[in-house]
Amino acid sequence: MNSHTQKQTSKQSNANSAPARMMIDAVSVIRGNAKVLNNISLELPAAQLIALLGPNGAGKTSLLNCASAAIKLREGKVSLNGVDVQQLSVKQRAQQLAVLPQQSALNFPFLVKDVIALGRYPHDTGRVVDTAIANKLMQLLHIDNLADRTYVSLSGGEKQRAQIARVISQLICNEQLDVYDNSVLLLDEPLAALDMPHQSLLMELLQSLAQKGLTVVVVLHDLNLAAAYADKIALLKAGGLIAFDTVDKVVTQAMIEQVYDIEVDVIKHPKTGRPLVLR
Amino acid sequence: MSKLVPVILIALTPLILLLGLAIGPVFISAEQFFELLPYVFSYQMPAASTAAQAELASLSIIITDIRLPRTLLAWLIGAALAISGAAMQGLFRNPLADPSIIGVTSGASLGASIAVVMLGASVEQLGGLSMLVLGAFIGGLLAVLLVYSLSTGSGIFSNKFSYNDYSSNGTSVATMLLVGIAITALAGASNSMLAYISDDEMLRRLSLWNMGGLDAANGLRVKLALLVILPAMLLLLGFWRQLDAMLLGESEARHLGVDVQRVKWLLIVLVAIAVASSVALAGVIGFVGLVVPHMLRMLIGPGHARLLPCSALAGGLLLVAADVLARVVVSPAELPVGVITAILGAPLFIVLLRHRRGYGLV
Repeated sequence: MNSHTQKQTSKQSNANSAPARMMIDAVSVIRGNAKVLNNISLELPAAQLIALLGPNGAGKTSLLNCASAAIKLREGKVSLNGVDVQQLSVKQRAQQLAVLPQQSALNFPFLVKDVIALGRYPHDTGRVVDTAIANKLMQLLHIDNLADRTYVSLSGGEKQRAQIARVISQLICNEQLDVYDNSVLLLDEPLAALDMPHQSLLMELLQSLAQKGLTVVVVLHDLNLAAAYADKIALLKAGGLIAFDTVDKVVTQAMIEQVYDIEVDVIKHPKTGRPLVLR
Repeated sequence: MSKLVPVILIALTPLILLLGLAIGPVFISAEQFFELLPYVFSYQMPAASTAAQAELASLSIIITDIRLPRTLLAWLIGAALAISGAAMQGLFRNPLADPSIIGVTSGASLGASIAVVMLGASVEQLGGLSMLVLGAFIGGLLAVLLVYSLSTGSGIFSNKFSYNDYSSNGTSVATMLLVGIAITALAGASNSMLAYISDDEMLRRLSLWNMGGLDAANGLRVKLALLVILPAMLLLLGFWRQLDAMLLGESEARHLGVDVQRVKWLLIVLVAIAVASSVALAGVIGFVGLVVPHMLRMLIGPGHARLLPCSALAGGLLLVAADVLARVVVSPAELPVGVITAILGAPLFIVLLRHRRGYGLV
């Protein structure tokens, strides 16, 4: 009911005042004596590609873990379409929220197509639809030729693309790659093992999914890829949220130097006009 | 090839079951055997008016009262051990896992020892079942319960060095593995202590029991197995999707919508019930639970939709075949069936391993 009214208002209003699909509200995480996350609040709107940036240990993965209810929150609250993520059943959550962790533990010789098929676990759409979605994603990520290889025999980048295809397929409802309403995709460093062309390929795919209505949060280390593709950037440092705004406002010389403690120049990309960070 | 494996297994099953009825220390000719089969399945005795018919009648008793329960029990236990092994390897995401990893086997051994030593080798009977069976069953379940509860929650140590950040409120399989080893060692030591204080007769009983054997099979034991082991196995089959997802990793499975903690608990309980009853009814039979799932994974892949039922079929086949051999190799004496499963299975396993270098398990 709630999500219904939200959807209607989102059509009427412009992008700036769109209601949040995911609300992260005053979340803190303490491990031992260290505050891993300190009072983070973020409103993640529908149909946006959001890059989560920050130095190592800034709390990016912890924030994703809070957002996906992988850890129990003692302080703060995360809601998905108005409902506390901790209150959702595991299955309900999986139908609206897909997560790509940094590392994969899979060491059994599954075929690549079987790994990707697991992405359809929370949905009962039937084998035909599921296979069509999986095939489409494998084509898009250039792993269709690997479908009948075992996962363990793949290279690092190929494994990563297979996992990405699996996770994305969890939120796709048909062969045209339309996304389920109200869903959120969280990706933790999906570009880590990918070569340059596949990095751009994935960012373009994420952008197109966001345009179809998906909320995408992606942890990145490449500031320029973030600047080139993201709608908004969230910048974390030492467990605190330094900035959450449009690319132009976040990727500035002052901001990057403050967060990363390095000297940089920020110029305009000659072709796209987006900010470009130079060392 | 991989499509053919289930077909072959299904086709072989009735054949090996018939073999289990036909072969034993008492020779039954093929002609007599097929003449007797209708009687076996209708639970009737051939009329015994002539000498030949009298012989047939006594052979029919051998088949229905001795070989039939024994063959059925062997099949059920082999199937239960193999499917439990497959489930545990999936749950622990560890190719070294076997049903004994959760402490059930050693717990059952200890339970059996306690029964024998406390109550004497003169075996108290409880409706045809020795207290040994009961002791083993209870011991197996208690050990699993202990392992599970010790691995659940934050325990007495801080979480700072725990293996998995996010399971501090759940059950860590890494911890369960280690606790399982500890409980196994503890039960083993207690077992040795009991062996030390027991007399020769008890000692012989215990060591024979520890080698595993189906010689005590009777109608009651088969009924128990059908009542307890079979339902546990059928329920295990239903977990194929969850097990597939768990192979990706626990957090991945949770993100896919698997209620990991609940699935873990149910799997552990079902395996504990299946294996504790198997051990209670036929002693410790190693190898089947560890190796059969591996063989099948090499042949048909790791997907549990096929791996679980095929493991059960292959485990049943292997144990019936091993038991047939156990009966005839040193006839009229018998070898412990656990010895045969290892002698039969190990070389086969090694051949498969060398044939399939690309098996790919790290």
